[in-house]
Amino acid sequence: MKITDKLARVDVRDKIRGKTQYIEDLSFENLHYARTLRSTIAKGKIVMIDYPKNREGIWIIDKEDIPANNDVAMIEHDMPVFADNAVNYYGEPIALIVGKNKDCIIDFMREITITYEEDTPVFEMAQARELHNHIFTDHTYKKGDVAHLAHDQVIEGVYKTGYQEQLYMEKQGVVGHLDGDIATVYGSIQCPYYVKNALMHCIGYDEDHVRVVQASTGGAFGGKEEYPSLIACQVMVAAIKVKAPVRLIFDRREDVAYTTKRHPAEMIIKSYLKEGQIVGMECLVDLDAGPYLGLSDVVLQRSIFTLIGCYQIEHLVVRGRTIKTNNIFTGAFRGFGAPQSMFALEQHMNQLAEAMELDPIDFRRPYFVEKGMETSTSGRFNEDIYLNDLADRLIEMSDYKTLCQKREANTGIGVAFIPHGGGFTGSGEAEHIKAVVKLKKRNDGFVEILVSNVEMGQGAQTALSKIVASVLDIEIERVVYENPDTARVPDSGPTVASRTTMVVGNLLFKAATQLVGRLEESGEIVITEHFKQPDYVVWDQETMCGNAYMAYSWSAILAKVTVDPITLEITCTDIYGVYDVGIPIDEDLLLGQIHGGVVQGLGYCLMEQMHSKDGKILQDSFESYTVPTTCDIPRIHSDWIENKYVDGPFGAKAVGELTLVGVAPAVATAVADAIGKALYQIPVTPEGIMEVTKNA
Amino acid sequence: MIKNIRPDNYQHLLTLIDQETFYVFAGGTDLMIRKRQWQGAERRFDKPIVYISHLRELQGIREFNDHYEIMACATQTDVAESTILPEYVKEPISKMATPPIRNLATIGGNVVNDASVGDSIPLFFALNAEVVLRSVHGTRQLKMHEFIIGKYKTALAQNEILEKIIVPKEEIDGFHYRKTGLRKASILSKLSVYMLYKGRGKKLEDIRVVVGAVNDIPIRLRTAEKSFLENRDVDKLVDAYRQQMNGKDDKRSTKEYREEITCRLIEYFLGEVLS
Amino acid sequence: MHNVSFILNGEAVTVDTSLSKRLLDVLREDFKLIGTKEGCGEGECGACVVFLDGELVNSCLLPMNSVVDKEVLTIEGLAKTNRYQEIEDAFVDAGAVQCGFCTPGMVMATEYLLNKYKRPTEEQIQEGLSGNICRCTGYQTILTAVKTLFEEVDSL
Repeated sequence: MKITDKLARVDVRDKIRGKTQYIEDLSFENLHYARTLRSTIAKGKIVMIDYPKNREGIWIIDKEDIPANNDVAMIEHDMPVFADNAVNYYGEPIALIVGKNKDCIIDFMREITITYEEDTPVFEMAQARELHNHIFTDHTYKKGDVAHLAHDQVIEGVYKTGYQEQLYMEKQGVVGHLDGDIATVYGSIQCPYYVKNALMHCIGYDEDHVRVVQASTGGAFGGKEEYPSLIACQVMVAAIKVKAPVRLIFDRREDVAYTTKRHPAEMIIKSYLKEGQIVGMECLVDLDAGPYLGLSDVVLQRSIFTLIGCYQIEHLVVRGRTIKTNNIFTGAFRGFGAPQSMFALEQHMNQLAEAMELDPIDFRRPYFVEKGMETSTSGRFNEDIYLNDLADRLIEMSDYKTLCQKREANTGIGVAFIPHGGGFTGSGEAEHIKAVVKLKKRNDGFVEILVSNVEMGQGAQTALSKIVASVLDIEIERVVYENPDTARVPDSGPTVASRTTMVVGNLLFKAATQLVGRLEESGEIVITEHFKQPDYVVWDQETMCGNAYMAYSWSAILAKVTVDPITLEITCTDIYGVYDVGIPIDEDLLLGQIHGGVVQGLGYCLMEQMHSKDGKILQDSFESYTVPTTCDIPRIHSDWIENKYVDGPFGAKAVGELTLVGVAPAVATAVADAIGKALYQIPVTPEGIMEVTKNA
Repeated sequence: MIKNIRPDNYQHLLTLIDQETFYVFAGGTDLMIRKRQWQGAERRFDKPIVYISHLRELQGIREFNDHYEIMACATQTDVAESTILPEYVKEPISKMATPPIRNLATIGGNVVNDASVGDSIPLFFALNAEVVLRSVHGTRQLKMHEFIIGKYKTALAQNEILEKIIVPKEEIDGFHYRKTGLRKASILSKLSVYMLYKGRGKKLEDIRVVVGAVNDIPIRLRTAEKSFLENRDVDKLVDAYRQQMNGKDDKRSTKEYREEITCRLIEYFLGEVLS
Repeated sequence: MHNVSFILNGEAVTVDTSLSKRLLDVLREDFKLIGTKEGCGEGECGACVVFLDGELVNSCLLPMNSVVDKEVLTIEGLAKTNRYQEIEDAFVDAGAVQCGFCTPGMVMATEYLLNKYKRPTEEQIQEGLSGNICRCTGYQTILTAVKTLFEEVDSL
């Protein structure tokens, strides 16, 4: 196998014929079912819970049953596994009702009454910001001296983005099972070791007595990154008490209403200009984190470190805050803070270009970063950057000149240029993750990949297998890579942050290199590789200074839309995208990420409207939360350049999130272009267009 | 345990509903969602259910000299792909929901359910359609706009079944239909405009304008239509409809958008008809 | 409880069940056929589609009453046919599968299109699959796979 070979994905035939087993397809003996009892207020105290007297066949699992710690181990320990008297968001889990008969459980739950002492919840960020103790984290980094900058013009914009729901096709699900004395959880999950650590903390078992097994996962997109730790702890506590396997699978509406979502954001971007040049920028990003910190601070960091995008701006102040509210608690979703801040930045850049009557691509070029330049956090761009080439290719591919000259009625075009840092921020890989991979040459001649990264649709099984097969020049069928089981695989880190190919793939590349020429040896060989931070990545978390990411991937996007002159309905007809992801490990996998990211980004911009009212999500079903169908998609034209990264497998860099981030900014700008009015908010809707154009 | 009854025949059905109050289950595409439940658990129906989609008497689409009959359990696909119904009946139905839903959902169910977003009702208003209701005591025939009273409220008596919809054969030269939603397929209407006409431009003889999904029930103003035939005043007709609109702000759209865009569509369609 | 008799994937079967129980649940629990899935439970996502007397329907909305004396075909039944193999190969070649959860439903909808049209337009293909939601692929490769199965597709 060569890395440039075309191949079919390794996992698909069973999926197509319906044989692949997801969590709800696995059988367990004496399986019990769990359903969540949830808070029906957004903030207050539980005074009393009145359970029906007849408890035959029913188990109630709550905070009293937790063996060790009633909190989900994340960065802070502020989120309980089961509500401990206080509730802080509508739908917060209070207990699991467990039994063997679902109808009995439903009957039982209908008779439960909860008495609360209600408190005053906070739902608006604007209000929360002013309150005591409602800002979780507040970070600022600076470069140069914005305060004393000579300038002759200031242009400021306030930008807003809304919730987005991952809407993976397979709902959240976990099974807890005390297998002998080993607390075992099976689940639809992205990060087996996150779940394992959370379990160890919650139930107090040591690492040899906790096991997590990933079940084939029907989509995740970040929604199964940290959230499953909560429900895994819940079912495991239940399984210990009930002494039988307990399965928790959400209803779809429950999943949409109560699991983590993309953070709504309010952002301010302010440019200082002198003689038409941007000399300084000030940015503020506020994220609605909900009532618990979760991963919100990490999302915030990526959001602010991805600023100032593709541009070299010498004088900068960038500030970000995570705001505590009593809305649903928010978390990871593909892009992880960058879709928000890049929407704001790219809208702003397009608005500046418009104000100066310059072509939006020409306007950007002088600011494009290059190798050797300083990053926004005073690090250094260590690799080659080809933003001008991406721009040139985009112009060629889209016939940009003609698009600009021949303006069809009711049509608009918009561009966006986006970076995405691969891997964990700063020293995250070295200090927190410390990835370890193993590659085993088995006695039977197969080569087995032992990592904790999961296949969740993105193609990890195929990509990582292809890397190993290509280094060893063997057929892909000789590579084995099963769903991770913490009893068998080391912790190579979570399947997040676009790190699987770039970081874990590179470790496997190195491991496979050590096996070259050794495949014919008798006996088993196990190669272990540990992540080593490249010496060009220097980062100070305290001052937020240095290289925020090991390497960046880049994209240039152009969107073309039409707006119906009567109904104001928006159609995105074309998306052009040019990408620098190092090299594609596999072209078909890359195309899969491009298409999927484009359509999710399109939904984020135009169709996926989600509001929260009094802490309740209003659009909580497939019917009301409308994601794109086959009739909603644009023609997608894509291309990529080769720009090998020295520490990526075969030169590959991050892919998964980049392809989503640039779409909403480009499409929103295209709509603004079509209607002749700047837009500051997504989703962009016909109602919103009518609002901004009515006073024209 | 809920009673689930599958009547042996039509007469059996009529007798059952005369004696007791049932959920009348045709396609079930609405009822199964309303009574949604945990996967694997029993649906909780608070009334007994009587199933009707297997009854021969309620199936089919027939053509007569001066009218068509759409039986209550004809599915939306039956209508959309019918070889005998005219385009102006088929097209709005073909745009409802999704293909698998259309294969199950019945026309009768859509009418009796009488949701404000029920897309079949506006066209029946425009076509002067009538409903035939049957009980053990015989039949009644009502005009559609007499049958549809309010949101989820029809003139159907407890012991009656909607048997069929009678669509008069009329001289129609053309139609316009547009509905808008949150995306391009699988949509619940924010608003819809359905227009039928006979003759064009100076020769315009008949015009019917129906607004759907904005109010609880469709809006059709016969007086305004007659006036338009006399004075050809687009603004006046649009205003007459605007006066009747009572759109809402909800999780899909806004009052302002619904009413404004409806008016623009009426104006546009009328312009086309007059040219 | 009723004895409901029907044809399942070519075989006559009988199951003792409630008339209002969903076909989806009977398929998964009583017959252990896991290829048909619940994505939403409300007929919106298409992960649960099966054939009922040759018509594509959402099994999450279908009470067993509607199945009495009828023919049901699931992905497991379809997978035994030659035509299925063509569809499977087309999906594999086009790269039309990522997480796989929507895929059996997409295959069923594809079969429905193949039965319905000889020479569909692109619009008809898109419309035919509009009741099946995919969150991973962005649909491009799925549409490509389906198009290759027709000898000719009209594009406007």
